[in-house]
Amino acid sequence: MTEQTWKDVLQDKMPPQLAEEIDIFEGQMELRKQGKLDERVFAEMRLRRGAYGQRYDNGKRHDGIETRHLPFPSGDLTKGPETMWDAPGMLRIKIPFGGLTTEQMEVLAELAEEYSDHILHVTTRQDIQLHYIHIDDTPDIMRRLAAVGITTREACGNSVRNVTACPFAGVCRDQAFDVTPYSKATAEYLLGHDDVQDFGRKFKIAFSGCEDHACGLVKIHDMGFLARVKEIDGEQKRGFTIFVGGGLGTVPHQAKVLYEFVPEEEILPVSQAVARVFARLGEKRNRNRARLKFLVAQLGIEEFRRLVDEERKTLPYDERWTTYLQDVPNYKEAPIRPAAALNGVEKPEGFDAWYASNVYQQRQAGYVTVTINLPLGDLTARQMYQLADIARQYAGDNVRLTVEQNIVLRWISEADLPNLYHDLKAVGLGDAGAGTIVDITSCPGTDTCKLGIASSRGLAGELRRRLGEKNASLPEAVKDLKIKISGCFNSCGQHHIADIGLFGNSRRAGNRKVPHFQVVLGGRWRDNASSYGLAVGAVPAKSVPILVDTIINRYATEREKGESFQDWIRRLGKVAVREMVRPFMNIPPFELDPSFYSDWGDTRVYGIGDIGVGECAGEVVSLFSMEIAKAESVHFEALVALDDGDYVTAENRAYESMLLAARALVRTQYLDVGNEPDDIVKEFRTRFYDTKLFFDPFAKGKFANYLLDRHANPPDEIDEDKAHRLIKEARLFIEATYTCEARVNGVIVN
Amino acid sequence: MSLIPKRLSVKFFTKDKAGVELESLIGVFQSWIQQQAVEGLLIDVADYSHVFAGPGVLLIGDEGDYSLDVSGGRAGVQYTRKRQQGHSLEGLITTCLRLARQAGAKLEEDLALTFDYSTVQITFFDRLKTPNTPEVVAQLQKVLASFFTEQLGISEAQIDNVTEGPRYAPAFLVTLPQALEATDLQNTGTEAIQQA
Ligand code: SF4
Repeated sequence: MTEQTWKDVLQDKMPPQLAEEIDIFEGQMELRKQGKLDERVFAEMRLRRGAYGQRYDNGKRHDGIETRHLPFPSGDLTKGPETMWDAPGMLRIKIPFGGLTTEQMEVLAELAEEYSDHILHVTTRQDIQLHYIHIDDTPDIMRRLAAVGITTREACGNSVRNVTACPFAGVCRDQAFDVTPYSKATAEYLLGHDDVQDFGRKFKIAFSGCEDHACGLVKIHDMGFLARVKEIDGEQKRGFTIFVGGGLGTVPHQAKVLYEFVPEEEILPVSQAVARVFARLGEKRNRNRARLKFLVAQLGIEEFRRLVDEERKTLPYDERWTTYLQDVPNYKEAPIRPAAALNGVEKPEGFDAWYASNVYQQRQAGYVTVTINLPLGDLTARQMYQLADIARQYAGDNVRLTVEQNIVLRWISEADLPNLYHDLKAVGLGDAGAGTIVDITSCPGTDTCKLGIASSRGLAGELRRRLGEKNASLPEAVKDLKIKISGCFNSCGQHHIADIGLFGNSRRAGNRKVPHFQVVLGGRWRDNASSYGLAVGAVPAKSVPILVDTIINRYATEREKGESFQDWIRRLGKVAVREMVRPFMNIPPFELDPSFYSDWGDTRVYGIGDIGVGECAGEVVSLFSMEIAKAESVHFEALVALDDGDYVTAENRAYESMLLAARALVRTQYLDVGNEPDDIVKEFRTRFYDTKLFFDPFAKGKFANYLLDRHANPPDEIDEDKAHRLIKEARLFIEATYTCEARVNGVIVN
Repeated sequence: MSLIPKRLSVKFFTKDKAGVELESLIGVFQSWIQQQAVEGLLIDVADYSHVFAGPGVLLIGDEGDYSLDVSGGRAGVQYTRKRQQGHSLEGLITTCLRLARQAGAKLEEDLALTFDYSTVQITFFDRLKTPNTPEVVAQLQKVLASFFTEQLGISEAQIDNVTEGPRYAPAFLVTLPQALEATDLQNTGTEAIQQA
């Protein structure tokens, strides 16, 4: 008897589309194992399913003495260039606008226990990441997520990443309106959309409800939406200011205003038009210049706007642009407890400090939003279960992840706060200081990231510990400063927009390397991240904590009344700021203090030999290669069905694989072919058959006829022979498609 | 359905009342990688000392992870088998016991910790094959009872179901009349992990 699998158990619970995509990915894994799928193409497929590489996955690791080869059991099998199959990887799970239900929280906890290391990591894009995942486990993880409405699709790779939104959307006192339904609709509309499959780099989108606060950070995004209400013909009309071309990374760019006001019914087509312009004109070969910000800078915002306008005019109408709007007026979150004031309730010890930093008064009287301050964005599987229980009791499904790597519980009745605090404390989630100087943001850094140069998490942990110990005695003026740390210049930890930003680099001292952090001062988190900090010098990692002490003490004592940190830095001037940092730049000789030659949280002697090739940029693989790979996996499914004696499925899958191959080819010339078999075949016939482009020098149009005949004459009955024959024909058709594409368009981009 | 779970964890608790300085484990586990001091393909060290009652500090391996785990608020040396589970549940349990026991002995040498080898917690992480249902829990308890009696020759092993609630992974606390010795776990028919 064959054992039940997650696929069997969850078949009826997964949305069919997601279930099919996961099957296809599983098929691609199998093809890769058999050496039938190019490693670069598979890498991009994998990334677009959220399965990312991790440090040491090239099979090498420096153990502090020597670089060791890691002999993984699958030998030379790779899941991407220099990425060993068995090497632990990361799975990024997209949580659009950070919104979680309690059921989803429990499933995430189960997955962390069964496939990861019992830790759930909240990212600066409101994703959840699981680390140390084996690639073989990813299809089942994806199925279990799909069964509760979560996808990992396009969480990594050159596509639209998780659409983020202000975690206070809907409850915020300053918002123009609740951006939640718009961010959700945008995420759903663009997920897997044909127009977002051919980017040279990733594409990040964010929504904010207001201009003055930071929560949505729209100005650091490829595309940002800022809620606006405008009076048009005497009517209050909802819409957005749309920004484009923002981004952090090595070279930060402030976004430019693409349109001052776009009415709500236009935001999806405008997004689509921007995506098309980016796909068509964005850099593809040089990944360092492939983000939208470079295209916008190169063209200038006026020309970019003109191109988007032109593109918008040619877009084929899609009813989904506006259908979601019918539901927007009804979009509401329901509190599960009646509103009540806190008056007179006895408060537990520590409550007041927690209340001051972690509790936000909602626009709805009697309700508050509570922030759970997660250390380094981490919580255990056990805590996630416990938090689901707590949410059920006090907040219901009104839970969101934040871009500051925390979790918020919304719609808490004020009167429940003491009990909620007590319950959170009991499970280790009651730390005060959310959003303050102790609540430090950090990217994974050298812990798990292949590109990490220094240990951002190690440093963040150390700073959190030290600042936490003296939190009560810290001057009020510094409590709300933000510290953000990246493990390298790529700024995933958002160091550019912190008061005190730090990013990892290394310096040489004699023959040794020393982990360092570049200090970036005076970035602005407020006003949707409206300005970037100033790099003032690199200091050894081990000196950062005392430098931070110095900076905050000087700010507390030298600031003028009401002077912000940014203004203070500006007033000091570059020379004085540099002088403040300079004494901390020294590196003692190894013999005097070897601790400088190791990083925080890592006892190994420091080196940079472990830095690998990052996958943040994805693999630059042609659209055709990506799409033909889908045809390959469906063809593989046909073979499996044939083996199982399921001839109807086998025959159908073989036909489908030819359609997918033909579609891949057609889309090299005509992106809007759609998914209808009739349309695909019609376009294929006129573009490649009638023109003889598809013809083989000897077989002529024979291979094309396999598809054309099957499409025109579907069989009434299917037996083993018929299924078998069509599978063979499909194989030849797919091969001919490769040949044709290479002949017409040149080889796969290298 | 086979009862071999996706992950099996075996944990021996510390006797040390003072608690464990988790940060010290980072250096110890790094040195284990340098010296290839324990079995299996050893990859990296993951430090979760900052989270409350969590996995502590882990030595991540390919087949399994060693850790000084503080989940449930009790520190202990733990081995979690993740891959290459073998063909029998009994074999898997022996492998985990043996490797957790060896790691405990090594930590006793390196950090002057002491562990109670007469009490062991065994947890089955697999909602498909070993879900927390009364039938499966009863079956697992039976397998454990016969394992300790027949495989290890310990007839007075007390096996308590300590699963915390319906959604948690089945967990058992096994109390033995005397400490498990490394030698008890040799020659029990399990294959050692193939040394890389
Ligand atoms: S900033 Fe650098 S180290 Fe940190 S996650 Fe990004 S690429 Fe990795």
